[in-house]
Amino acid sequence: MTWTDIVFERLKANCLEVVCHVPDSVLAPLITRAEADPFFTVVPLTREEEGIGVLTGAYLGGRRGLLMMQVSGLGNSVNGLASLAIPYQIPFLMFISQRGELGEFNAAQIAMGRAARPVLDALDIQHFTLRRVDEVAILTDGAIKTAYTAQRPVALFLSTEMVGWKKEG
Amino acid sequence: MENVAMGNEGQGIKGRGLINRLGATRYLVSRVPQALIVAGPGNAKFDLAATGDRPQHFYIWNSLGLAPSVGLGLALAQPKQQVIVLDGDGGTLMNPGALVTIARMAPSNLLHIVWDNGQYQLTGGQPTATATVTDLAAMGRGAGLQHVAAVTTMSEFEVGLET
Repeated sequence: MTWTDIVFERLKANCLEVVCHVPDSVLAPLITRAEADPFFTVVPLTREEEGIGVLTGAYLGGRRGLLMMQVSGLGNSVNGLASLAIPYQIPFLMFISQRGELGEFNAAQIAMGRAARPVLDALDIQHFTLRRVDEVAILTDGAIKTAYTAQRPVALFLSTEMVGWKKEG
Repeated sequence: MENVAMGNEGQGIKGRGLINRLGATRYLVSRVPQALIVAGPGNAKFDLAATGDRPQHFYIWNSLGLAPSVGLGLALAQPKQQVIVLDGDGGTLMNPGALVTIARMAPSNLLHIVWDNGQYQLTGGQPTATATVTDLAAMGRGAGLQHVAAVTTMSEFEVGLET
């Protein structure tokens, strides 16, 4: 199974039904599969911080979900995390496509990519990184479990070591 | 009711029978007591609390712009419940993308009320763009919301709620 197959299966097994996203080329196959499966409610966002609100409302309504985005979207979401998800104790998974690290060609991706983990650390949001396909299932299950135990968002990074890096041009 | 955004508090007709926000909030709660209500971080949350705290209320304290997004998530999670968002012009202008996302998802159980007083009232009354150039109802229509009404009097507000 590919990492996409495994993540798709784990999302269903953990009942993360509400899929909020801003498109990303690495995440695209996962989003397409979720859109084709009536198990999921897929919410395309204009900006990632909206997803913090949508997932908060979904949780108030008794449903679990995740926010899929490129790492730049984490930067767009910081006040939503700090002012809504954390103080109101709203758990969800942030599934983040990493840019700005191994193999990056775009100088404009470097700073946010490098800042992502320190920003999460400053907010005391736990994060884990998928580096090998054989670790995808356990890290995905574990990140989701921790989020709902801690009543707090948890981030799972998709590294370019595992998925490859975007080609220039 | 679906996807209704309402501007009010008298933009353009100041001094002529403006809607009283607290009074309208009280009317709303009495008219649809079973509705789940999400209130944004301006005065909307204080007015909602002033009607009497209830488990159906959710107050947002510091996430300007996210009230309609929370309402959308709740409406999608609980499609048989009426969900109402109370927000201001400042919150709407902070996150106009929420209008776009709500229009795309088109939940039939979400009513989005915008108290448009043309100012950031809690921070000292600085004017928002709706005081001069911006039309929120037009933005809602442009985003693709199916039903948008701009009301300026209490009777129009009451009629709008029944639509």
